[in-house]
Amino acid sequence: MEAAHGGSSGPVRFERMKIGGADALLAPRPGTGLLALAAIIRRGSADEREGEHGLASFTASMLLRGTQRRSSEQIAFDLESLGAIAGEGDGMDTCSLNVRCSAEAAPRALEILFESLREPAFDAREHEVHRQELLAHLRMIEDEKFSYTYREYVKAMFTGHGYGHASEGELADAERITPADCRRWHAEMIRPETLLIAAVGDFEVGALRDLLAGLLADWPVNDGPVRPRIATQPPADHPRELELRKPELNQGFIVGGFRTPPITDPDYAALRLGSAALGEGFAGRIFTELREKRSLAYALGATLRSYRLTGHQVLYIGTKPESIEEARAGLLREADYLKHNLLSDEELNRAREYVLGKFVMGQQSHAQRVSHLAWWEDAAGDAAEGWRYPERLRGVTAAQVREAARKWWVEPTMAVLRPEAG
Amino acid sequence: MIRQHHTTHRHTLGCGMPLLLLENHEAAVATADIWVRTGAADEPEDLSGISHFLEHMLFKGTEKWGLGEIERAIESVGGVSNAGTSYDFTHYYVTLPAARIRTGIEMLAEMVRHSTLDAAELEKERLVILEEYRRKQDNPIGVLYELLYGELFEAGPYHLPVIGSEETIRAIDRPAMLDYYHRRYGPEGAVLVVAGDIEPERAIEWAEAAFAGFDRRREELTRRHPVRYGRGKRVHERKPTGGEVYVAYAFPAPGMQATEEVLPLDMAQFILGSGRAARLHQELKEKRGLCSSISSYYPTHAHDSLFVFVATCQPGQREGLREALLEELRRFAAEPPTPPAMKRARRLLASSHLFSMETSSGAASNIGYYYTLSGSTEFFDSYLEKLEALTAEQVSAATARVIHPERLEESLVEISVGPNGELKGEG
Repeated sequence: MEAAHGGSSGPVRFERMKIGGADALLAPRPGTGLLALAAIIRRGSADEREGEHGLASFTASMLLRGTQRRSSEQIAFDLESLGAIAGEGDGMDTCSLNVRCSAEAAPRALEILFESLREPAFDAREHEVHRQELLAHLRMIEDEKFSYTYREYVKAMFTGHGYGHASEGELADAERITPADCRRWHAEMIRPETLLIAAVGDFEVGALRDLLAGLLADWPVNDGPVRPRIATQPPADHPRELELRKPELNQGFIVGGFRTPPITDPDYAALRLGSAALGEGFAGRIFTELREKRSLAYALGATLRSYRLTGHQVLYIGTKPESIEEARAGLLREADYLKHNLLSDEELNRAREYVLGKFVMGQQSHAQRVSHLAWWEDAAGDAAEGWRYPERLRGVTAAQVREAARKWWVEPTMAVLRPEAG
Repeated sequence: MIRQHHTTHRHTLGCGMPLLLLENHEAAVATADIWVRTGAADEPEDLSGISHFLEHMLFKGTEKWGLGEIERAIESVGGVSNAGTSYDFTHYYVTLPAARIRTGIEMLAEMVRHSTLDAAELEKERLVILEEYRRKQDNPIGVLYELLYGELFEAGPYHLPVIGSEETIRAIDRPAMLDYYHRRYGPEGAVLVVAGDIEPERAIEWAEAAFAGFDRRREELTRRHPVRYGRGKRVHERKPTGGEVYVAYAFPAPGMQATEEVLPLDMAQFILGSGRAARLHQELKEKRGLCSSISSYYPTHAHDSLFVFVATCQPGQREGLREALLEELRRFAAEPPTPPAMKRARRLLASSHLFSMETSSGAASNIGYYYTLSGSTEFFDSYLEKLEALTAEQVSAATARVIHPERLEESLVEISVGPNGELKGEG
């Protein structure tokens, strides 16, 4: 082993506390001069009811579009004049407002961020501007093969469940949502009780806690109950085959996958290594067998996607139209290989070190560390689970990978995009 | 003022190749990134795409490592590797747990010094690159940029796409690639950057050992032609999309060699089209609803470059968007940016600069990029300091020299990709 110089590869140390009714994880990083913070609303598109699709995402996107005191332009101008980069996020399980800025600018940037979170105006004109932006975004998804095919695949994979709707909704959802819908969602879902604040940066914990307590004080929420999160697992696996067509394509695209359990499941660590062995990096089986040996594709691989209640093992490949069947069979053959064969010591070690390396690399920036804390806290119920994750990975055997693959990679759901005939 | 926390240290290896080092001990991660000053701009026309093809082939085995062994060796110690080819450079990078960075340095040295460029592997990789080519042809943004460079740079080093054409990808053979590799990959035209949780003395020691005896003489290739810019054009490529039209409006602009122009134009780019409060975003998208997105970019090439605005809109919005953009640019050139506009752009640019240095790969990429294009670390190391001293008049004057407000339409090249539609004055 070569000597490292002393940078941290250990867990992100944080302090957990309640601030103004919200959960908070504060991780000081003295001397960096920077801060990243996310205000995570623990309600997402999976929590939408019938007739509400797209509402969590639409509402989150409206938060930085004006408050009672500042216009949308003023918010953007004030934040950017501090050198702060702010944005909103949407997802199946959560939505968020987040900011990165210098430590010096943090008090003023956070004041604007929390004003936006607490007091959005949901102005009718701004609503229309965002609607047009969203409609364009949805049209543009059609132009990118992976995004389009993946989106349709996910809907098929989780049909009949909250995870079976794209978080940003469909064109008809974007046309339907009104400012009143957003106001109602905000009142019901965006409250201190649903909030998780994760912050990493150059701050003193007590000072940031006091600052946040002031920003969260006297939140004007309604007195009604907070709507609970979705709690049921998606229905049992029911594989589907989707045939998608687009005109004038030079290349087809395949996205397929298998249902997998959430990260709290005992099989998760084995499946994580299975995914890496199958198709992550340039030495995974899919890359080696389908690209390096058979030259079938440039873009291909595997990834394990996880939500709070479930997950799925994704396989993908883009290839010329005449190779689509060969590529589809190749993806499934490689998955099958892992179900029927033990990984060699070399393959298992490569997969393990690859995942551990990505884990460390994924915690370099302040924003990456914030995401890490928030993800483990929400998905595993405790951010400290992230500390134990490397140990879980180190304990996985080749037999466990095979057994987990056999158990979970049962029948695939596949979406295949082809050029329109003629 | 947002302050710069980093300083790059320079060392010249025994073989003559510069080694740039940047320490950052926040995380136990390090990146080794080797930049070779050769790319699509250096290629003869019949070998268009050879730099990119060679980039793929350098992962296909060396005298010491067989096919796939490089990637396996790196990933087996927790690392990732990749590469990128542009007009003025090709670079190869490895990010690893810091304790393993020596492995990364050794691998990069093997790749640039001892690749075998195996004939059978070359034929297989040709098919992979053709798939990459097809992928690009299906993407409206890929098509937009290919057309933009083809039309704005009518002749010269930036005219042809980095990936090449289907014809040249099919035609490039091993003798041509070996010749190109041996003529272009030498210590003179390369720089190694090592950034992250490193001990500089150890990194120097490992790099010296890995590159000892690297004495290949690099030959300068004759550039195809000097740049000849296209002007006053409107070109539309019909392509079915989900409904949006992708539009680029570009002006000829100085490259990195005109160092004093780069920072003012970076600022102009941020004032006009970077961030939610940027002028064009606010005026054209938010207030007037003329497009669904608009941003500006200033990709600094080594010698000649472009200043470009990229937008998406509905087919019926194209004419109004163009007129409004031209009107905004005339106003911008006529009046220096206000102090609040300067403050916003300065702070945002400084923050973006610092955030891009948070990861070892981001830091190595920034340092390597600017060194390769400018030939020194001075531009990058003094970036924030110079940013503070920049005046609104300098920004305005540099912008006027690019957009030529008195003959704006004649300077502009407009490219659009999307569903069919009539263009006024299409030429």
